[in-house]
Amino acid sequence: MKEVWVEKYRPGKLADVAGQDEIVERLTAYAKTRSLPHLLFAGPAGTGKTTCAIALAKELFGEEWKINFHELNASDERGINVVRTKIKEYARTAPIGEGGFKIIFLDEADALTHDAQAALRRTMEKYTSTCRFVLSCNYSSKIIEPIQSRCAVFRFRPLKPEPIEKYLNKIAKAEKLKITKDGMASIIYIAQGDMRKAINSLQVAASLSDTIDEDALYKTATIARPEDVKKLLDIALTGKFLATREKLDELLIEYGLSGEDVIRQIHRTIFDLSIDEAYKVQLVDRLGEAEFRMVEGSNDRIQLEALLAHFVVIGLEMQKK
Amino acid sequence: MIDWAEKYRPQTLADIAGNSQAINQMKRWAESWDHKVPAKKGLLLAGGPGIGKTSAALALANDFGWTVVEMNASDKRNAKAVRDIALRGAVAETFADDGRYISIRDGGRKLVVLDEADNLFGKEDMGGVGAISEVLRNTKQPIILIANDLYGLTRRSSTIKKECTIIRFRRPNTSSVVRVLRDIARNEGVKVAEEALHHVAERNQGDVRSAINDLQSLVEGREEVRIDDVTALGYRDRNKDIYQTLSSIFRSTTCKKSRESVFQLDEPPDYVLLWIDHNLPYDYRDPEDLERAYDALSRADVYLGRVNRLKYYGLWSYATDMMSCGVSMARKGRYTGGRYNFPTWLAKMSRSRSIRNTINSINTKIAKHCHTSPNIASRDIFDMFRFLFKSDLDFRIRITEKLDFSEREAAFLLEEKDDSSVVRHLMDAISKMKSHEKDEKEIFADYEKKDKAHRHRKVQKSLGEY
Repeated sequence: MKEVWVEKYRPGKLADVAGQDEIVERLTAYAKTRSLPHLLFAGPAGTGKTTCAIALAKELFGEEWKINFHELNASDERGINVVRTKIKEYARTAPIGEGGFKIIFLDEADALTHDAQAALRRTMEKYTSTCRFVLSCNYSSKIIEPIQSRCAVFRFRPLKPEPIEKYLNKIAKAEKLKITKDGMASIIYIAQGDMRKAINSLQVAASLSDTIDEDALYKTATIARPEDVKKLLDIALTGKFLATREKLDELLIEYGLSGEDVIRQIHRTIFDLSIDEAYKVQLVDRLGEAEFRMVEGSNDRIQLEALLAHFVVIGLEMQKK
Repeated sequence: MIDWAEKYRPQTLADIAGNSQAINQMKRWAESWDHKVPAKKGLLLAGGPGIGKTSAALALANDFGWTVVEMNASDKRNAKAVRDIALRGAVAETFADDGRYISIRDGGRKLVVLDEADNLFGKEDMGGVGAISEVLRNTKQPIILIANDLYGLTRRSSTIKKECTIIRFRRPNTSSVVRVLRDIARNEGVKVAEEALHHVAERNQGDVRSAINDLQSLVEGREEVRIDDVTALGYRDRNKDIYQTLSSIFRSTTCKKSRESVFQLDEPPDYVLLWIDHNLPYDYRDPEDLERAYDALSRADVYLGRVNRLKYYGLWSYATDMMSCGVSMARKGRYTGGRYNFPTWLAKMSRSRSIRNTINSINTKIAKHCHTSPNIASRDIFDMFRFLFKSDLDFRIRITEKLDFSEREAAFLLEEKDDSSVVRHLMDAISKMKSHEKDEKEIFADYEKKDKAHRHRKVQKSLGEY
């Protein structure tokens, strides 16, 4: 267990990519003919977008894939700067080897603003003789039309249970693990078509026991932080604001959560609270408002305090009933 | 112009204002160095600014005939320099800063004074808390650490607490500050009315240094200072003004009065907002009032956000209106009281910033390793990564080496202090691996043994607490 398994078992060949047969077929054809248009990979997390891009590069460039494949993340430095500097710098130099072009893989391209995307479009055209762009995003609708029309669009769907099961069994064999039937069913339920989630759950469960059953997976579910956020909501719903604020400060300071983190985790938690269903709707609506104001405002903590003050009132109202 | 606070820095412990208990403790510690190196090699002086911590350290050295090596946050205080002095000085003899030759056998000790030690850990050039802790454990010379924020220091390092005797300095009372001021005035040949001295001392609430600074600026260009001169200066108590504003906001029944109280205050709205935010829930005890008031504060904050983004300061007045009138009008109940406090969030925020930096750097490294973004790493990978890091030693060592985690990052992942033994052993194992000093298997086995011992101690300790 010396590695992060998602990396250790990331397929190196297109043929080994799980559950995206049609996509793999078309990409393999590109690799064979060595002609590649710009590509747009759209789809949810853990469906193989990055894996396909890397595997494609390996098949195109062989040993020299690392030199000719440049990975950028659009969400790292939001905005136009990534496009203007990093991409241009890389795109300007000639490809190495006999490939005739290199690949720029721009992950989370939907994080780019419209302005940045417009600039990207011009760059794509300018360097088209030396570079191919592979853009990856969750929603293709967030990518501007002119870029979409210049790309071959590939839609990655959440993985079906069979390919996930097959792949996990491969890992289990290599790591000498036994996955029980209910264990496999639980992983597939947790993963929701996300291979990264599936492999991560497997690795955590494997660190607890060599037999991966439902019980081991249940334990892995408790390692995530939402426990603390749940406590925060529980305190708020008892109607004590100052105690709630203390807990909030603990999350923000000791755990270093950002305001956005807290909101996201509250969102995940709300529907599991044992409160009247009608209240959940009310809370979620207020939650959305809080996130909106957080984006607009300057101090995350004040927005969260306002949100929790509302939760406190709801909590007291429920107690009266 | 000579700074009076420097000019009149006490030369001997007897001249330190107040804090007699602390001074006696310091003396006892210094005496314990007479014949041998004592068990507690470090002293940690903690307390607010300007109350004589540094002065006491320097005076102590003077009284005991020790040479002083003083370093503070403005020095490039890298760990190596500190270590060189503390450990090399131990080898029988050394040179003082002025080039004098000192032999330890003659009792010529070097006192290392680390001022502003609570800033120590934010510094990149420090080489980590571990380095300082190591020096504290191994030094052959006395070391004094000085800090304003004791908690900020000890929460990062258990060694510091363990290796140091902690001495708290308190604010000297007004009469002992008056005594200091009176002596200085006499020495400078200026006549200062006793009432004026009192006023200056009172105003500075035990901060001797700033009291001396105030005295100096009062006396500037005068031969005599009367009480009128002091009041005419229009000393302004920043906090007191804010208290009045808060009281107006939390009590007034008209918008006009409420917003005026903020306009009269010469402070930026984002600062006022923090004060209101901190004190509001202590005052508005009805949750529904509180909810309405917080909604107004939240709106005020949105205006402030827009100001920041658009650089359009015209929106400031709406922010001010929402935080004043909005909060006043949210109140339906009647409240009494009115003890207001400084917004502690300001101090906490800087603490959270350093933790957040660590989290970000960890997630950036994970993201790079896993071909994804720090956002995704934080959302989908971090929790499981930390779990494996804690529970699986093989993984821990390999990945620390591969991702080049720092002491701080490893400590955060393990939820341990930066200088805890687990972190130290981990870092040792990594450096051995890098230098190929030993066989890998041996390094792993060695680390495993140490980790087991550590966990065993931890269990025993927690049992002991019952």
